[in-house]
Amino acid sequence: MANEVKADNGHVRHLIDAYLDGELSLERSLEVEAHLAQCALCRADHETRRAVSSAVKAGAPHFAAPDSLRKSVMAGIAAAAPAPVVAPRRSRPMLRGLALAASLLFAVGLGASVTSWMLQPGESDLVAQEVESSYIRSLLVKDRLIDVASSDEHTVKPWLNRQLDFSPPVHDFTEQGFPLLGGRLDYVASRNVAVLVYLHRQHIINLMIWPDADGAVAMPASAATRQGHNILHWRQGGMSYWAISDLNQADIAAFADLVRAAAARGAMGRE
Amino acid sequence: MDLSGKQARFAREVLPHLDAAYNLARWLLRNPTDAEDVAQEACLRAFRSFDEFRGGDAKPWLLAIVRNTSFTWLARRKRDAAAEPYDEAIQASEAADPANLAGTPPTPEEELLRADERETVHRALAALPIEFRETVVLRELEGLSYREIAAVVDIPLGTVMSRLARGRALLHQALTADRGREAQVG
Repeated sequence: MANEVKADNGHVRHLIDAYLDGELSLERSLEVEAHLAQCALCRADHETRRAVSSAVKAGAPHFAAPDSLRKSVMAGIAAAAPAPVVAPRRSRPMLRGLALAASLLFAVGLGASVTSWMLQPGESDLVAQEVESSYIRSLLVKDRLIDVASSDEHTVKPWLNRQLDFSPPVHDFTEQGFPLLGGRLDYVASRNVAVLVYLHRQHIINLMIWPDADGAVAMPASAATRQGHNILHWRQGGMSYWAISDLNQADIAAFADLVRAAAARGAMGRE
Repeated sequence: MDLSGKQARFAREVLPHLDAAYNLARWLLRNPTDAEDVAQEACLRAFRSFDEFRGGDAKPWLLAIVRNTSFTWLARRKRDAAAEPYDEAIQASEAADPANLAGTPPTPEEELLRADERETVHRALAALPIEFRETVVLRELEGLSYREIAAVVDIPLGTVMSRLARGRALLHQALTADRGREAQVG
């Protein structure tokens, strides 16, 4: 059967879809055309794919959005817009939770004022969701956690620098009980980010770092708990930092203190 | 912060792609009610993260959000309901309803000629495994480039190519098998 022709032996079966869709370079397209002119098998294949493609284009419906959807989206946007500027008044219980979280963090020595993004649902909440998804994925999928395995910051940092358009600070905290396991690349908040992986008492910590447009303004840490994961977020030295783990709040706060102090020392060292 | 400006910009750049958003959700979920809910949720998510949109064509950006929202929805539905299995015959029968179609309605002649054929194609595409279905829908119905599809689905270019090839081969099989059956019956 023509469809079962092998992709090699000079045949172009594996390129036919890309050829059909105009996705090949000019040079490749010409090669495919030259081959099609002299090979009946590939020509038949090309004809089949073309027929399927136009049958779908002509035959499969493109569903139009119902008016009710258009209306509800417009209404949703109108309603959603004021949320970021007007702090919700009915969030007293959250404020109390916030005060509790703040005192907890102060108790373990996170030396900065703590705010919570629970008061401002919106972007940082979405980023927190993505941070959590990335963390969970890295633990679920085999070989996803670490791209470069090393406890040596002088191995991990150059590797990340090569992959990224920025240079994240990398420090090992083995002596303080948080050994660096390695790093990986991930995609969070619509950009490539550096992820450093640490271990503490058999718990994995992910520290995600990327440059922040608002990063010139240092932002104190804010804390959140999502489904048993503790997340800390702060900005420092032009970078956005997100630490996430299933460790308890005290441990993750202690870890954040180490990172902040090391980053501050690093910044001073450069000056 | 200029909120009404953000709303206006969102309406201008993103909302023209509402049909595409609904269409993708519809093909992924294969159910009009769920598709409407998911498309709405995705648009509101898109609005909330609109500040992260870095300009350019908003269509692939929006479709990526629709896709993720759809998969979350499917995972939830799978978990919740073993009770209501998907009935392909019922879902496919709405294919013939012209009220569901965008664009100009076909002439009566076209209608007569192509009604079964359209339903056959609809059914074959709806029955494709989801990873091939989404690639074919993004390419054939939304006209996305391979690079845009790679970004929406979050897969390498080579995988876009192989999924499209495999998807079209499966469709071809389904369409020719269907024609064979009709020939036998007729």
